[in-house]
Amino acid sequence: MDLLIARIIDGLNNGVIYAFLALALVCVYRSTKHLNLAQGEMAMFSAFIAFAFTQAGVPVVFAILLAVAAGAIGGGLIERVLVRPLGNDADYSILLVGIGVFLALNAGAGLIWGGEPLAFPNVLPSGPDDYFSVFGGRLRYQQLLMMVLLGLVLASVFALFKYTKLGLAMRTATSNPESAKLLGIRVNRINALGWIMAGAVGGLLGPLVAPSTTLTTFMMFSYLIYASAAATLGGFDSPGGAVVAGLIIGVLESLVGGYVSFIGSDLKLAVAFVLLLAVLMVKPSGLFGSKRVERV
Amino acid sequence: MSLLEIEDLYAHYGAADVLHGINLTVDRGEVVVILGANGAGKTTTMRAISGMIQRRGRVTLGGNDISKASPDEVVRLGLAQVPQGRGTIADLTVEENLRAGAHVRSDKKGIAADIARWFDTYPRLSERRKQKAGLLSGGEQQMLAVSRAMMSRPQLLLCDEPSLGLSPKLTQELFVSLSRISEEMSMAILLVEQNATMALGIADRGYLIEVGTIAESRPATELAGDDAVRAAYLGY
Repeated sequence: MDLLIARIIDGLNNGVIYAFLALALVCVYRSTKHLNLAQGEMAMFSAFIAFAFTQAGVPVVFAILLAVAAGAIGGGLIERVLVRPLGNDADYSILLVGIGVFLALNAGAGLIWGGEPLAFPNVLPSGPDDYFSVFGGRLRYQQLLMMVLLGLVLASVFALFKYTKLGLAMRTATSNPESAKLLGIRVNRINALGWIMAGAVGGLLGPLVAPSTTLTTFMMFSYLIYASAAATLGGFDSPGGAVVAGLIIGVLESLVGGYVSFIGSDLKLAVAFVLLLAVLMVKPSGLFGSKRVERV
Repeated sequence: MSLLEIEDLYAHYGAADVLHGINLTVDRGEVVVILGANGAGKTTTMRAISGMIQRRGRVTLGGNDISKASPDEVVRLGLAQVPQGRGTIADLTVEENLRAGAHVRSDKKGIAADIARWFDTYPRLSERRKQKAGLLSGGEQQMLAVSRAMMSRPQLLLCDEPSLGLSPKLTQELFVSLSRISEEMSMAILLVEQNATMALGIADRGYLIEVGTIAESRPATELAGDDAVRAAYLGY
């Protein structure tokens, strides 16, 4: 029993990261209909920026807030400088821009901060005894903080889309950009806003993940793969779905990896994808995604 | 001065010139129809007015120069468009479609009153207010397109082929309702339509457009009685 709880909590620890990153992917998708392949690297770069601020003597909480701001500005700049000039029908070009930004941020971080792993401070105390005991499992403070923040971000994103005029404009712009323009919606601004939100969420996530992974240029690689899987599993247009799917994948891979000996830790990633394939065969739009229906 | 004044409007797609100097006016409260064959430039004229494509020439709406304005500026100056193919926002519910139509407004009470008004006008939309708009039938989507455009409280409504894909009966209903909107709200409508009989039935004046140029406008009744027009557009 104790082992089960420990494995679930272990799974949640990773799942919360998948969920966070998946939520950022959904933010971009819901406002621009694009998959942002550079999402993980944006989070990684933000973590380095936060690191630079802590090195300059800024307390870690403020360093993270500054990283969030930097992420937002960076996201906006990417949209304005690299994405917008490509026009409205540039789906594949924008996918390639994502790869380009991925490589540029990765190489840039390596160039500025070097390839050696760096230690990034936790926000909350993280000594051997700093955890909540949950049925014998150890829920560390930092992990709990991430879960709370994830919940807050999810609630704000949900409220934005569901209850605000801006959210309605964002949904209109993705559903039918031409009609949105004819109704007076500034579609370019909506797209920019999607990237700004994604940059900000990445800016929050990177510095929170960095203490457990250590700060390196490749810290987000595998997370992006998991997050893409989570977003697909949950439904790319559903913030709540992405979060739930991220947590499910985290827990499931921990359980399967723990109990099925031949899978162990080497084949964990495969578990996520088998699950993904199984769900998509039954429900192509994901667990919580909305199916696109249109009569003509 | 007319509500909409167009002088020497040119537009092109890539290297292909589509409009070669269109001249056209619409007065306040007036229903004007543009007749023309496929490819004559009717839809392009609409898109050039609303700023969806690059254009040259002089276009004024209520005295404001909109020849270089972006679509959202044009909407804010009082123009709404029912695009060809209805422009349904499929992932939004019927009610959200109407709400989105009021994007440029901020008077909450007025918006709620207008939504109620359009549900009143089109009870079938009211029955389906919580459904995704993509699930509506063609006729319902066209009603939604008109109501959504009207939600911005425009001075001028552009309608691009509203009868496309509708049965004769639904087309008739739609034109009756457009005519009523124009009368009750003294609303100007510029209509592009293949169904010339119906369109001339509710229009005050009509223009004939041919490969990107336009002839002088004539009263709708005169156009409907003209033998050449009858042969070319009315088919009897």
